[in-house]
Amino acid sequence: MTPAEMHPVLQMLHDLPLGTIIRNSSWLYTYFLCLHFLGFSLLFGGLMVVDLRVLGFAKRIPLDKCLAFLPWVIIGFCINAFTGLCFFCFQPFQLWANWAFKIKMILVALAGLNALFFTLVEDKKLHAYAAEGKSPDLGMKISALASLTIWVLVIVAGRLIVAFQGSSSLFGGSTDG
Amino acid sequence: MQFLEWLTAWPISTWIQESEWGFPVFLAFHSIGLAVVLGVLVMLDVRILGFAKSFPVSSFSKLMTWAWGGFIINAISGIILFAADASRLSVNWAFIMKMTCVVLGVITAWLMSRQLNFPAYTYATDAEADAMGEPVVTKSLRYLAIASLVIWTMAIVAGRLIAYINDSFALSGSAF
Repeated sequence: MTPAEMHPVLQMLHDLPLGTIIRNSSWLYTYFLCLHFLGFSLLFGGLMVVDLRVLGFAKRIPLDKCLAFLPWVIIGFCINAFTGLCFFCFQPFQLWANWAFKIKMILVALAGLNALFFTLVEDKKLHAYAAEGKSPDLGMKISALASLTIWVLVIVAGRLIVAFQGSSSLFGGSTDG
Repeated sequence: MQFLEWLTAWPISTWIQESEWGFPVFLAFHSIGLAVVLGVLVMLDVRILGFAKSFPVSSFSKLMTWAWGGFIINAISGIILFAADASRLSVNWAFIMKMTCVVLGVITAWLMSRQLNFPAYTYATDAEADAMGEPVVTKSLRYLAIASLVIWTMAIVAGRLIAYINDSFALSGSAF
């Protein structure tokens, strides 16, 4: 047993019902992964439209109208936070030891901070600019570019988790702990 | 089959088979393309079904061109991923199901675009598009939107199952 495997917090998460239901089912993991993809599509699609519009594409779309899909982005995020938590509880020791997983979590946190910044600082400006018919300023554009870049990297890191899990199987090891 | 062997012998196919990075790199492209295609199509579907009403439907004409861009990324990465593992995939029922869903999904998206008059909006100047107004959301469009959601969900599920099915028309067991 490596020191990471003896970590009490990881052990606690491992023993939560969220992990156990996946461990006890032969198909739930697969279908949660499908949900994770759907959640991501909701999240990424909605954000991509806001980000690209702020960056100056599709100028015919009214700037503030792009935000209409943000509730769907949040639904997508919630689906993925839940299924993601289940995946972590399913095999916390493997994931904690996986560098791609750590990079992905750091990127998601960065994206969250960026979204918070956009909501707190840029959102009011965006509505004001939309009302005046002005183009987004540099701060907004940097935030939008950061959002797009980070989420693309999140997808890449997510794929690498599976690829570098230390298992030759794509399933990523169904035996845990 | 000779054709499948020829695909599997492509330099890019052997790179995917032999290197540690080839497979994840193309899968990453495939996932990014998926997020773009489905991101836009799911938004269009929920908008047609009556959500996010403040977003103008005509604006989707522009977004659909992005979705087709995502589709091209996925067609190219998909062909390369297929080439690398052609003989297994050509008899893999999940793969065949996924391809069926993708074809149906593309037809649905094309029908919706046509009914919503998107090509006209795409080529119109701003003044012309303003004069055209917003497309009418008909009942048949709502059915197509529901079909689109179902078909693409099935495509994702079938796509995941490809990895778990190793021989033709049989399950490897671990997925079920």
